Amino acid sequence: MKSSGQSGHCLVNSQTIDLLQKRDAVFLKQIFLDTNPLLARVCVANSVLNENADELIQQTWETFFANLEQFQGRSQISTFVCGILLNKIREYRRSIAKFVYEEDSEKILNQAFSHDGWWRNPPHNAHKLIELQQDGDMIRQCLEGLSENQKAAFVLKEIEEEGNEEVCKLLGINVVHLGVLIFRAKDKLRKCIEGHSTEKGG
Amino acid sequence: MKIGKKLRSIWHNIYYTMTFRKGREFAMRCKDVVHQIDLRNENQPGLQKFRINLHLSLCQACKNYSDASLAIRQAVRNAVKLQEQPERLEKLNNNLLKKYSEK
Repeated sequence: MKSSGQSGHCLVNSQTIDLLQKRDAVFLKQIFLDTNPLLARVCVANSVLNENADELIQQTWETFFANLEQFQGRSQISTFVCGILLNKIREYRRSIAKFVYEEDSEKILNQAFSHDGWWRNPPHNAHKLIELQQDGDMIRQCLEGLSENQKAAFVLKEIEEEGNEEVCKLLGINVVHLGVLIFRAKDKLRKCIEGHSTEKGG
Repeated sequence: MKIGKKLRSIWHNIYYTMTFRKGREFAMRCKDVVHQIDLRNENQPGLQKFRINLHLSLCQACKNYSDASLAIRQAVRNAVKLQEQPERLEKLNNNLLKKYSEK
């Protein structure tokens, strides 16, 4: 996962691991600066806001430092930490009964197209979507309809622009499954946003 | 698998691969091609016309999909950005630093 800072700390070598184990203040400050904005965005996309987001991010770092010996530098720090956060979010959303389970991707994909292979519900003119881009509440409401993996895949790939390999590693899936998750996430978001557009008479 | 279902499955795979993986690039290339094709030209053989029509349909579908994808991505980016709280994040970073540094 790429770093948003300029420190180059995401290259995990033995020196980096050493600094982590020593809890070097300058190094940790940079790590928090680089990684926490990403963690905060992942929380927002999962409707975990304000105090709840702070709490989950703190729990994430607690788990990371408690299991520091397991971090052997095979993945970048932000990737490793983001993986912990995604698990925390899943636990949290289960606890508040807002967990959205995965549907049968193959079935959904087939339902998206008609017998002659065309869209059952083709994308509308994108201008309608653009008109609604400022409606943050509506978008977050639409994000709620995605499964946990769809949300994570969409945010990491489309918003954070991470590479396929990193996202697959984080979610424990292969690239074909990632493709289906992204397709399904976009399809659900499109239908949800277009639905709002129709309601508003757009 | 029945032949109809198999054909449908193959067609879906092609269409899906094109819209998802290469939709954006495909739509860009299509834009150039579309400008060069004159469908009113009666001298073109039927098969070529069919190919061109199919190509144009796919181009349009990919363009719509690509436009919709970009609009959705921007919409979600904006929505996430609206929730950014730099002061809150700074406070969180400071708390974490106090808790974990040089212990």
